[in-house]
Amino acid sequence: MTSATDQLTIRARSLSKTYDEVVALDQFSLDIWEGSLLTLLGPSGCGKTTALRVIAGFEQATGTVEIHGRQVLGPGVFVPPEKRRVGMVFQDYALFPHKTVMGNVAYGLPRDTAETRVGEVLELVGLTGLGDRMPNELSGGQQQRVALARALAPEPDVILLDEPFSNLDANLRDRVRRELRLILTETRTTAVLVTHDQEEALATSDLVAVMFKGRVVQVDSPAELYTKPSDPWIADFLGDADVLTTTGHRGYAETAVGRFKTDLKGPAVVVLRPEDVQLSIGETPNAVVVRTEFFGHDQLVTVALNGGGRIRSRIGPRPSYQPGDRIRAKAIHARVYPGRT
Amino acid sequence: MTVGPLTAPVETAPSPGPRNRSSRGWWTATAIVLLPALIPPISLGWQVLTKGTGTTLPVGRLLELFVATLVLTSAVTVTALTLGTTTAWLTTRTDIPGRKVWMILAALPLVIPSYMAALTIIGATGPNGLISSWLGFEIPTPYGFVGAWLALSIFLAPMAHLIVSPALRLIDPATEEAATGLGASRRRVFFTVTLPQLRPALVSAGLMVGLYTISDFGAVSLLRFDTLTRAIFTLYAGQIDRRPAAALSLVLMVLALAILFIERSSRSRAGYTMTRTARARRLLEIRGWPRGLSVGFLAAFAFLSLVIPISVLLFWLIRGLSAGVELGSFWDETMRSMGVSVAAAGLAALAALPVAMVTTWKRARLSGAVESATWAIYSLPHITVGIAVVGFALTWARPLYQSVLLLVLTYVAMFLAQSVSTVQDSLRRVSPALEDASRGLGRGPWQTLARVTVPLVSPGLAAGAALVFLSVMKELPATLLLRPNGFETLAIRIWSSTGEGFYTRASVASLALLAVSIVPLLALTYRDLSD
Repeated sequence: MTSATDQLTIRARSLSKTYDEVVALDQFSLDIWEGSLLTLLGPSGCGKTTALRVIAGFEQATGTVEIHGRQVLGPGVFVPPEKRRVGMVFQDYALFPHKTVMGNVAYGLPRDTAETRVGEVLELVGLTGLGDRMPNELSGGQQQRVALARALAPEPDVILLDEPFSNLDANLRDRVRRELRLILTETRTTAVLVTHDQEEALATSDLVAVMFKGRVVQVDSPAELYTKPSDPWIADFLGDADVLTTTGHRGYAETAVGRFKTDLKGPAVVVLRPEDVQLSIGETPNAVVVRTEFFGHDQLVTVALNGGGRIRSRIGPRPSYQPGDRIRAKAIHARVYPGRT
Repeated sequence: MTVGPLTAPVETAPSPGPRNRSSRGWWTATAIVLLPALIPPISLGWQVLTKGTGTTLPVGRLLELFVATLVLTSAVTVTALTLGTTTAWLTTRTDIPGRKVWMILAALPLVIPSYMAALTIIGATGPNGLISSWLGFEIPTPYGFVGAWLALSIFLAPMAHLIVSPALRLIDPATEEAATGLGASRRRVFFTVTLPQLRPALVSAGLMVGLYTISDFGAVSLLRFDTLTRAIFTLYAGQIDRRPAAALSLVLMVLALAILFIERSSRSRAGYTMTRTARARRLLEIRGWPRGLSVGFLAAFAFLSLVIPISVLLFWLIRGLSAGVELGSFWDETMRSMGVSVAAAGLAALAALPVAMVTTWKRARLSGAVESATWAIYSLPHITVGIAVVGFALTWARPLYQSVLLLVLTYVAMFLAQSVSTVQDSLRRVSPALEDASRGLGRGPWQTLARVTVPLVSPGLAAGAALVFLSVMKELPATLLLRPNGFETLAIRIWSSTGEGFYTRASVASLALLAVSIVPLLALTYRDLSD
C-alpha cells in the first residue's frame, strides 16, 4: 500500500480535543493514501466520529490536518468545511427532506453541469429513474445510496462515511457494503469509513486503523491486523481470543496446549484464536469439554484445561463432543505478549 | 383572541406506529364533543338563508371593508413572521449573550391581548402620552391602519417565535452540515436548507397570525381602523335588526375558512422526518458588529413589546393613585375571569381526550374529518361565533341565553383545538406498544386508559388546559356578546374603561389580567426551553 509512488491524501498529526473534560481525541495521527479505503474501528465513544468530523471541518481541534499537501487545520489555520473538498456521508444520511433525489445530488454541483453529472452519479449508484422521488419515498437502502451519490457528485478528494450501514437491517447491510466497495473502487475514490463493527471493518477495507480512547493504536491490513494484533486487547476486540498466562524462558513460552517461540523473558501472556486450537480424543487428555455451541458450518467448543484456565476451539460440525468428554487440546498457532509483572 | 402558539397544525414526524384500533366509545364521545360545537355556525348559515339579510351595507362599503381586512392581514402576517423568525433564529441558533433570557422575553408579549396593546399605544402617544413626555414633544397617536398594523405585528410576533423556535431545533443539524460539506456558504445554507425545512412551521405560523388578524376585534376597534369585525360589531350594537350583522358574520366566517383551506391544501409531499440520533447542535458564533446588532434588535423588540406597555400601565396606575382617582372594583372581575377560564380549561382538556384519540389513530377517513372540523371551529372569528351563538340561543335555546353556562360552553368549543393539539402531541409520543403491553398483561381497555394512557398524556392535558385558560382570560368579542347582564370580566372592564377614557381603571384591570396570566404562560414557555 505504501510504495513510493503512492500519494498521501490526508495527513493528520497529533489531533487532540476534549469536550467538558472528556477526552475525544488524544494525539490522534493518521495517514490516508490515495485510492484506498481505510476504516477507523473502535468501541463506542473512542472518538472515531470526532476524528472524522475534525477532518471534514465540522469540529475544531489542536494538531494539524493536510489534504493533498494543503494545510486545512493547524496553528492559526482553519479552512471551513465548504472549502475542503471533502464528501461526507452521515449516519442518518441527512438528506434534505424538502428536495428531490435529483435536488439532493445536484446541491454541491455548479448549475451548468449539474444535470449530466446527476445522471452519471445516479447511474453509478443504481438509482436511475428515481430522481424525482422525495427522500421519504425511498427505502433505507435507497436513501443510503442517495447520500453516497450526493457526496460523490462533486468529485471530492476524499469521502468520509460515518457508520454508513448502521441504519440498515442485517441482510441489506452486506449487499450495500459490497456495492459501496465496488463503487469506490470503480471511481478510485479515497474513503474513510467509521464503524464499531469489526467484521464490517475487516471485510470492507484496505487498511484498518484501530482506535482506543482517542488515539490510533494500530494500523494494518485486515489480515495482518487479525493475525498479528499488537496487543491482547486488540486481539480480543477484533475477534474471539483466549488468554493463557505463562513465562518466557529460553526462547519459548510454555503452555498446556503447546510451546511457542518468543524472545521474551519473564511473565508472558499467550493469546489463542479458537480456530487455531485443535481437539482430539485419545491418549493423554489434558482438558475436559465444558460446553459446545453449534452453528452449523462450525461449532465452538469450550474446554477447561487440567492445569487451570479455559479456552475455546472452533472446529467443523463433526465430531460432536459432550460436556465431560476428556480430550486433548493443542494450539497450532499463538501470539505471545509481555505479561504483567 | 387566541393564544395559538403551541397549537398550530405543524406537520409532525410520524408517530412511532400507527394506531389501528378504533373503538365505538371514543367515536361516540367525539361526536358528543364536536357536534354541538358545529351547531352555531351551521344555524347562522341557516338563519341567514331563511330570514334574509335585512338592510345590507352598500356593495362599495363592503368591498372597502374586505380590502382593508385583507391588506391588514397580509401586512401583519409578513411583519410578524419576519420579526418572530428573527427572534427565534437568534435565540435558538446563535451564541449571543443571554440567549435563553431573550428566548423567554421574546415569547412573553403573547400574554398581552390586542386590545391591551392598542390601549398602551394610545397611552404611550398623543399629547399626554408616556413616550411623548419622555421625548418632550408629542408623537401623534397612530390611529387607523398604522396603529393596528403596529399593535398586531408586535404582539403576534411572539406567536411566530413560539412556532418557529421548536421547528428550528428539530431540523437535523446534519442536513446543514451536509450542505456546508458540499461547498455551500452560510448564507446559501440558510436559504436553501434551513428556511425550506422551516416551511411547515412558517406556514402554520402564518396561518395562526393571519387568522388572528382577520378575527381581531379589540385592536382595530380601539385604534379606529375599519375592518369586517369592527363593522359587524357596529351593525350588531347599533340596530334592532340583527340580520345584517349575521349576514356579514357569515361572510367573515367563509373568509376565515377559505384561508384555512388554502393552508391545508398547500402542504407539500416532503416528509420532514426529524433528527433521530441526538447530536448536540453547535451554536453559530456571532462576532463583531453583528453581535451587537443582534442583541440590540432583541432589546429593541423587548422594549417595544414589554417595557412600553408595562410602563404605560404603571404610569397610569401611579398617576391615578396620586390624583386620588377611584380605581373601581377589580377583585370581582378577576374572580369572574378566573372562574370561567378554569371551568373552560378543565372541560376543554376533558373533551380533548376522545378527539385527540380518534385523530391520532391511523388515518381512518373520519379522523381527517374530525381534525378538519376541530380546526374549522377554531378558525372562526370570535365575534362571528358570538353572533351565531346568540342567534341560536334566541331561536332554539332561550333558557341558555345570556347564561354563564352557555358562555363557558362557547369558550370550550372555540378553544378545543388548542387542547386537542397538545394532547395529540403527547399521544404521538406514547408508543402503541405500551397500550398493547398493558392489554397483554390482563388490563382491560378502561384500566389501560386510566393507568397507562392518561398518565402518559397528562403533560399534554395540562399544557392544553393552560393554553385554553390563557385564551379565555384574554377573550373579548364573544364575551361581550354572550355574557349575562352585569357579568364584568377583566377583558370587558379593560375594553369599556378604555372606550370611556378611564385609563386608570383600565390599567388596574390590565395589570390584574397580566398577573393572572403570567404563571401559566411561564409554565408553557419553560416547557419549550428544554434544549
